[in-house]
Amino acid sequence: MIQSVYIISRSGLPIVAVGKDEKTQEFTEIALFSGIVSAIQTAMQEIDVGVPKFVDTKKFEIYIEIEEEFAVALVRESKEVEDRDFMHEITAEILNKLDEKYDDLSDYNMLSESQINDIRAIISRLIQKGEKELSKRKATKIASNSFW
Amino acid sequence: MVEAWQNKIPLSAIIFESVCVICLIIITFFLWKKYLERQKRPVLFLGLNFSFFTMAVFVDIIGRWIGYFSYPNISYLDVSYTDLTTLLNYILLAIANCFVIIFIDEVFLHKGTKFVLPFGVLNGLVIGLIIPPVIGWFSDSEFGLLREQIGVIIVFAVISVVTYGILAFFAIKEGVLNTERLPKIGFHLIGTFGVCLVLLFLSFAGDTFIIQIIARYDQGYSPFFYLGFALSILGIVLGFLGYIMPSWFKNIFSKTQ
Repeated sequence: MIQSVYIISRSGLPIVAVGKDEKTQEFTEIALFSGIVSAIQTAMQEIDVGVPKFVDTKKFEIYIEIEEEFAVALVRESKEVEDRDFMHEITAEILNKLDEKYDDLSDYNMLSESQINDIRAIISRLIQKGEKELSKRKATKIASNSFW
Repeated sequence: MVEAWQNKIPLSAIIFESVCVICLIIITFFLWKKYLERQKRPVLFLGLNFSFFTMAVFVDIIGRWIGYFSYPNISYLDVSYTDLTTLLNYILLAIANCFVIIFIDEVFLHKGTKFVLPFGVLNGLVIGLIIPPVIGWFSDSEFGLLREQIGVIIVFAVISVVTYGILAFFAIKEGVLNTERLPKIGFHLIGTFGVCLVLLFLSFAGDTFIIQIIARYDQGYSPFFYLGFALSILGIVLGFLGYIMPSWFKNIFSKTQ
């Protein structure tokens, strides 16, 4: 289950967050999360091990896709290993869709309220599409394992 | 005279139903074999569904065979075995419905009791309504008991149509969305199996309706009865290919790929 999606500027500042619970929408939560993801990336870059695209905690999995101006971080609760490639695909699709539509997504203050709402709508639509695809794959997986 | 009494239950009806039972026994056997091989919950619930379905039709056919051979000696109007066994058949089919609902939830919906419970309650209600006339048959076994239960039968038909309609809807939807050949064919076959069962229950509803209004069929066995069993045989064959998917069948479409 996709828990939330964060759009973060490359400097580590939050831009937009779309999540299932209200806590995800709280500013402090978004700011903390954005800061942590950004810090992990910077630290790993500094020690020259490359930029992480995937972070696995005990509770969540975080999928990260980066572009020049912004990054997309998708948080998922499930631990089903076989869905990981697909989660990367969804994260990349969100990044590409936003990158195509918006020339500059590096600063929250440069976005109008309608643009913010549009970004939220794009993310929500892609989350829904991803969830549908996941449940479809789930039925196929169950039927294949059980019968075919 | 003997033939006239036997004609109350046409031999063709017995043959149709017997073929249906044989097909059901075969698919049930292969489902349990598959369950022993894979130990998966969806196969378990589908196996239970088909087991109760097989028992239901088997009980029904027993009544028809007993009736067929007894009526030369006793009047079918005095002792209607088919009334009793058809009611027992509905009880077993209602139990089978519960298992197919659990199967749908296991494979497609994953909503748990929220989805399963309402259907369980409705099928339980049907069982509860059928049990008193079944008990009543032992004190009064005259022909006509089944026709008195028309309301319950219609409710049961609606529940069954909805149940197998849900299976057909989700399986076909899954088949359409799928891009891989094997699941696509498998889900379409399961969906068509569901459609056949929906049409089976509609045919039996049509049979119940037509025997009430057309004098020629007032003793049952209208064309809808035969259509229903023909559809169930077709559905079972498609279900066998969809659920069991034997290797020779897989080879056919892997060669045509």
